[in-house]
Amino acid sequence: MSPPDATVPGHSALPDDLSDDADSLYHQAPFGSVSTRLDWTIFKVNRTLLELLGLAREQLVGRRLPELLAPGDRIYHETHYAPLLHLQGAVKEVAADIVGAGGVLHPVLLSSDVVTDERSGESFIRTGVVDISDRQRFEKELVRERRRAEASEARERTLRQAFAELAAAVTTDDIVEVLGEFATRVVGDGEVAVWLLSRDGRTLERTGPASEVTTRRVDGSDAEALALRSAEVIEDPDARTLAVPLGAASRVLGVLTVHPADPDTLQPHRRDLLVSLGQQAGQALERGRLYEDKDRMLGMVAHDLRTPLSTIGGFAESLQRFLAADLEPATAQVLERIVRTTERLARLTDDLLDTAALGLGHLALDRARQPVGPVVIGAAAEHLPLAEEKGVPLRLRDHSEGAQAPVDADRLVQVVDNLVSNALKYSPSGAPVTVTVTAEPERIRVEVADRGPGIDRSELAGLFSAFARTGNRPTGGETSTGLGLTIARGLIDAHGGDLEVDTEVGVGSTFAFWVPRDTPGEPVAEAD
Amino acid sequence: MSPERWSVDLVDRHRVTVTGNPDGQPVMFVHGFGCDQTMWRHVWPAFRDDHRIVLFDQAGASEVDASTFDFERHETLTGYAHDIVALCEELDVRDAILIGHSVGAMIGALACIAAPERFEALVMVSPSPRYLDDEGYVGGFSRAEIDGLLETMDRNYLGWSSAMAGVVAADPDSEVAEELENSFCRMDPRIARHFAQVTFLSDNRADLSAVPVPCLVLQSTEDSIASVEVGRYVDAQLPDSRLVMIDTVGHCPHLSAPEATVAAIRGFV
Repeated sequence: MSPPDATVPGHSALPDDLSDDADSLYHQAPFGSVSTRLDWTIFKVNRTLLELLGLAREQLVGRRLPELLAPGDRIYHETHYAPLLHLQGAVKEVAADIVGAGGVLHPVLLSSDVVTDERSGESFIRTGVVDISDRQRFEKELVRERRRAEASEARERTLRQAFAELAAAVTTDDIVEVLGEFATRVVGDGEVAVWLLSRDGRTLERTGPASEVTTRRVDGSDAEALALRSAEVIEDPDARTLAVPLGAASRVLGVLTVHPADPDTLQPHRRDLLVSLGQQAGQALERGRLYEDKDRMLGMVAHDLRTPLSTIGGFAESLQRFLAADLEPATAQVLERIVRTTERLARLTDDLLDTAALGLGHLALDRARQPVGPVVIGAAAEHLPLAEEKGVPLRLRDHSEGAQAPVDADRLVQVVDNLVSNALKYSPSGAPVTVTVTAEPERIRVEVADRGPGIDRSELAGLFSAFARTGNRPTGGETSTGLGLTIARGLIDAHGGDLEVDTEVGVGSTFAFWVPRDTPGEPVAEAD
Repeated sequence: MSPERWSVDLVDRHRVTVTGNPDGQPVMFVHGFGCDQTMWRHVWPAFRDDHRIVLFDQAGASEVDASTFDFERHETLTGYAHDIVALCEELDVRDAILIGHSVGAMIGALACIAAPERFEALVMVSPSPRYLDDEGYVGGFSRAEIDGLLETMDRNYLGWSSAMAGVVAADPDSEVAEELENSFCRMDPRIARHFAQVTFLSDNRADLSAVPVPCLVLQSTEDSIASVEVGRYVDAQLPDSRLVMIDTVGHCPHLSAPEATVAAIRGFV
């Protein structure tokens, strides 16, 4: 024993050549170590590895290292790991599973080096084995959590998209289409059906292509009827169908049924998705119903007003004729006012009837193939006297060279009337209004351009909605119902065309619409 | 698949190396798994004096970026065989001897069937026409084991990179070390996995009897990937073949017993 080290008081120095140093280092290393011949036959293994695997030395020595690996890893070892070691001389940190006592799989990282023993000159392979079971557990959990988060995010995205599309859907057909599309996405392989409650509340009608069963009674015992009445999801495990109410509580307006090919698709989170979809679709359906009810009522009221108005107007006119000569100017004026006002009311009622009809999709067009230019110019020309009175130059230009289109002439006149009278209404004296008709290969275009005040951007969005009025003041004190543009657009839409406005404050507005020159399915005819 | 489209980058894409005796009969080496043409480095020098040596990397073997790899073309081993034929056309290789290892051997066989006029003989080192067990056939592996392999390959996305990064050659100063550092085993993990999947799930048993050239089958005495039984099966199915056992353990006799491998091939060509 050497004397105590004078430089480090209190510590006795340890000899540098401790004989068991290397050995204990080897066996107590914090990682496993296994030495094999070049053909991977094990001849030495350290205690750490034995303890990790729960095996005795005799169970390992003499066996080939790849035999200890899980089957997939064994293949990998023979085809990738071993050749790489041959060529590179070393391989670092390849993940694999080693089979320990009782067939337990231990996830490890393997690193190998080809080592040459100094004394004998023989080469052998030394492989380090690091236990990564903890690390792997964390990794697995991380991956699982991430997958769960991703799935949840994906579901949310789907729902958000579905909700947005349902909110934008206007007609019942649109709503049913959107609902069907998203339900199919959620369910995957399988059948999806949308049933809608009839107006009388007695039956459920199936939408979509004709199928065998299209009606179910609401007071029946089918899953659909039960879902409707209870406002709850009804599952039929035998038929493997799920019936989801569209709407909530007492306002269920239909049922969505899904019949997935794979029953596992009916997992809770998918079911939740469908329920949310169903509720949103129910709200959309309700909204659609309200629109329909509104238009229906509007139509009914307008219809009921029409006849009495005609009577009043008719009698007033008769009075005018009978008493024409005998009336004093004041009285004649009163009678004239009655006639005029009744006419205005009649026009308003007609507008209401048109609006209702358009909203319900009931407006029928009486189309005939004819030159569009003369119809448009003719209608605009009716306004020439008024234009002259206001000092507004009204210019009429027909460049369509007799181009024809299948149009309802009366309705076209109605549109042109509205646009031209609007233009005149807001034009100051001297500011011209120009009506132009042009023919394009597939459509005929009409423009009504004015140099009025233009329309402010904030009012543009609602311009075509019913009862909208801009802040502009009519230059001749005219009044309007606010329905004109709504009806005009509806009429052009019904023709398969489009009505748009291009406007700039302080410069003027151009209202332009086009109609197709042929109806779909019919060939385009040559212009005469 | 027209040659013109490939001609510019074909040689680059496959990192073709042509060496040896330009007047000698061409010998073309086809590697299998694991790596690239470097696998043959203990074998090809023995033939350089008498033969024109053609070494190349399989599609995807040397591409770190998978974006140019044609997954669709390489859905089956036939796609890889067509690569060989295209290379032969590009390099004007005729009457060649194909030497393929493991799946490279099957790919070589398919190339011989596709373009018999270009090849004179085929050496199959550790071949297997099908790895999955079947009724009456022992490929050696179950579907579960193959799935386990594919999972391992998925797991070793990172492991593979670090294995590549840590290069320690036996002699750091030799030019071998340089060669290793530059080019080595840089198969993109997705392509490697794809290659493994295509290989291990393929079944080319029916093609063996259509191989139109004489064959030499080299079989390790102990190989857990392509067993002796499978080697015998291949020999039996080939119309004109000879089976030679190499006394070594493992799937790569050309690495673990290069001299014996060279000797066996010499006896055949």
